[in-house]
Amino acid sequence: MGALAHYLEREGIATTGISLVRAHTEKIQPPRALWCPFELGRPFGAPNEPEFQTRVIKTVLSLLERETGPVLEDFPEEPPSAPEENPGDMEGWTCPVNFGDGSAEIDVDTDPGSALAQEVDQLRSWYDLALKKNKRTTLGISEVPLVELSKYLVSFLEDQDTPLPRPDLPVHQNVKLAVDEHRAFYYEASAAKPGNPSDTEIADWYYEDSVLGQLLVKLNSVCAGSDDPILVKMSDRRIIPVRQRHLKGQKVNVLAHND
Amino acid sequence: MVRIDEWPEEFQDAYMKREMPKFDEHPYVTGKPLSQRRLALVTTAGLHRRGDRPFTEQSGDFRIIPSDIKDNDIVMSHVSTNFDRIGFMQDADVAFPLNRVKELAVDGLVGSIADLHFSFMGATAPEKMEPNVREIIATMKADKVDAVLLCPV
Repeated sequence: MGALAHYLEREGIATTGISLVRAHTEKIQPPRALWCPFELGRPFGAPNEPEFQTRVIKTVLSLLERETGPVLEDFPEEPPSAPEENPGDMEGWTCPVNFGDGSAEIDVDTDPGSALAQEVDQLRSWYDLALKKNKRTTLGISEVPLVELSKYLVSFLEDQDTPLPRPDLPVHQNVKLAVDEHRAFYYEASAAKPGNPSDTEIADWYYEDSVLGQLLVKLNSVCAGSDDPILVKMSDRRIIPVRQRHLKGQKVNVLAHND
Repeated sequence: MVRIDEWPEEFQDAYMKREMPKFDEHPYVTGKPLSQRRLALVTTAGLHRRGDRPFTEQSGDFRIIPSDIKDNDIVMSHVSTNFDRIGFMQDADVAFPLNRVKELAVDGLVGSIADLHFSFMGATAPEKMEPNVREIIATMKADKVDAVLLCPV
């Protein structure tokens, strides 16, 4: 991000920006930056907190009126408290899927396709609620129905030459889109459950306990053993994040990617 | 909570010490008061319009986000798994504060908001983005943009 600031200023356009990793900003020295002690992914602090977001924006924009630089300042506030810092909020939130409706849980090892379809079905009403609540969804970038992507993921585990849901795109992009679309659906649905679960709790459930999470571990192994070097590279941490790889005792290669 | 200090120590350490591009010169552009500036957003969150091409690994290209876009048409195809997505799923402004800066323009704190904004996918070597930045600069200048808010993820 800081490099873009240099490129833009060199051509005469003034910039100011958020820094989420102070150590990196100190090295790149963009003209103006406001370091914010926020989570990665939330550069303006917290969702649905417009007043807080506005305070961050006013502060970072005010740096544009500084006559000399480079300027690197620290934003003094933490974002409005995360749910996990409010004990009690988590009561009632355990696992977003339960099979208390009388249907038997399908075993992921014996019938992965049906187990995944069952889990997706169980989440669908929570996803619909999320859609109503958020008035938006991030699902849909692949333009392929989720049910087709689920079938593709399960088939891919057995046969990497299985027909592609998006034949216009290479295999690795099909895999990535299928992974990302499931994450969008699962996360949006899970976040709509009562109890206001934190993103860490949702991610830990998603990668550790869900049927899909178990399939992602298998997918990661299939990619790691693939002849396709891009799939091999993806298996480092494009399918399972650093935190979850660490929890699973898997090594990560810090130099593998630019993120 | 996707904080760097929750990553395994060896990864944190290597991440913080990662080499960054070096710049010999430090251009610093000054200008009019904020209330007279025309502001564009540039994000590296891998955002794009629904229906636009998803970003791919190491792509230095960009996507255009028009100022009149609706929240539900802003989607994300960043390749990294190592940042929080739920905040953005619940409120696009937490990563791309288009609604917030428009409010500031209505209040007069910012002069005006550009017609077009630009999105890159940040898990890319900066030198791959550089030629594309030149292209967006030409567009910004045609739109009389004289200030940019950079939004990482």
